[in-house]
Amino acid sequence: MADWTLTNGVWTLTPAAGGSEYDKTLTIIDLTDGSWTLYDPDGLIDTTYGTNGATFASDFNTIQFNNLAVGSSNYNWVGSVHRAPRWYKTLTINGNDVAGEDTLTGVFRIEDDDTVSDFNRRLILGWSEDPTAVAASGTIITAASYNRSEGSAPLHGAFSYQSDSSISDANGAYVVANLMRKKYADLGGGYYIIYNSSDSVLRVGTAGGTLGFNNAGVTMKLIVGVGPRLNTSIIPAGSLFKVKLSYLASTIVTT
Amino acid sequence: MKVDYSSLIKDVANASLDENGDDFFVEGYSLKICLSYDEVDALLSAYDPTSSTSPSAADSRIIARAILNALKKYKES
Repeated sequence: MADWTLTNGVWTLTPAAGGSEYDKTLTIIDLTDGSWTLYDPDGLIDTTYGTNGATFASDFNTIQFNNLAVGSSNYNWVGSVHRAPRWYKTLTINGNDVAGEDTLTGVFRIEDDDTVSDFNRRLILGWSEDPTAVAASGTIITAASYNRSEGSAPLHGAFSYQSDSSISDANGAYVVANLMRKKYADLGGGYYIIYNSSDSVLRVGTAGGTLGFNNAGVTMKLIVGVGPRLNTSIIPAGSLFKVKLSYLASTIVTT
Repeated sequence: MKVDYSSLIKDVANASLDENGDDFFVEGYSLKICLSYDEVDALLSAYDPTSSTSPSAADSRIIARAILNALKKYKES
């Protein structure tokens, strides 16, 4: 039997524990809804645009960038330095903050609007242990991923720790990645499916996980990280990135 | 040593760090190589990274032929 719970004045219908669920819908991410914090250590986001650099309409977030004249490995999320801009908030499920020790599973969906293609770009959407860290050893990210060069096919995939694995398909419209993680087992990707605009499957891929991290006592955060695609990619001032993001997350009792 | 042929895909982009800790970005093919404990021990015991003639031609061919045969079959299929 499902349960009704009251949190901060809002009643929520919670499915019965131990059951499976049919046709779950994903939660749309609105970076302007007041629940997200922007952390942008080197000022790549134009915060004079919209709400902290983003607007939201018809389920799509549009983000505006400042000029990045010289590419840098600091900003493309791949590698040990993570100084790219990111929005984050505490991951809460049915009123519960999620701990790093929880076995966490989730589905993340990324859909880029390729009619807005101002620069060679990259995005990650997933979980982070510390989204205010500036090194992979602190952020500890597991995420779905997207990257694209202007005029080339989009790539969709998954990201773990400091590595990204993605597949190129000219007809790729969006990616749905099934991710899983737990303290000591930052397992990225697991599996992802790339769909076309008719919701047919185009490609499937996997991304390996990374073992051995041990940040104690963390509360898991959702993270939306953006930046240039490669360490040579630049960003012209005023560039826009328009993207629809959604997710579904659950903690699992494995015993 | 075997190439997991079912793992071979193209159009994949891998962005990560290499064994020296340097960033790399490779777009193209990706495949998984499976080696037994004994094979790894034998290959490493015969390998001298400071020698320009190491690994031996025989060891090199074992590795190269496994990869090339898989790629050749994939390209021709």
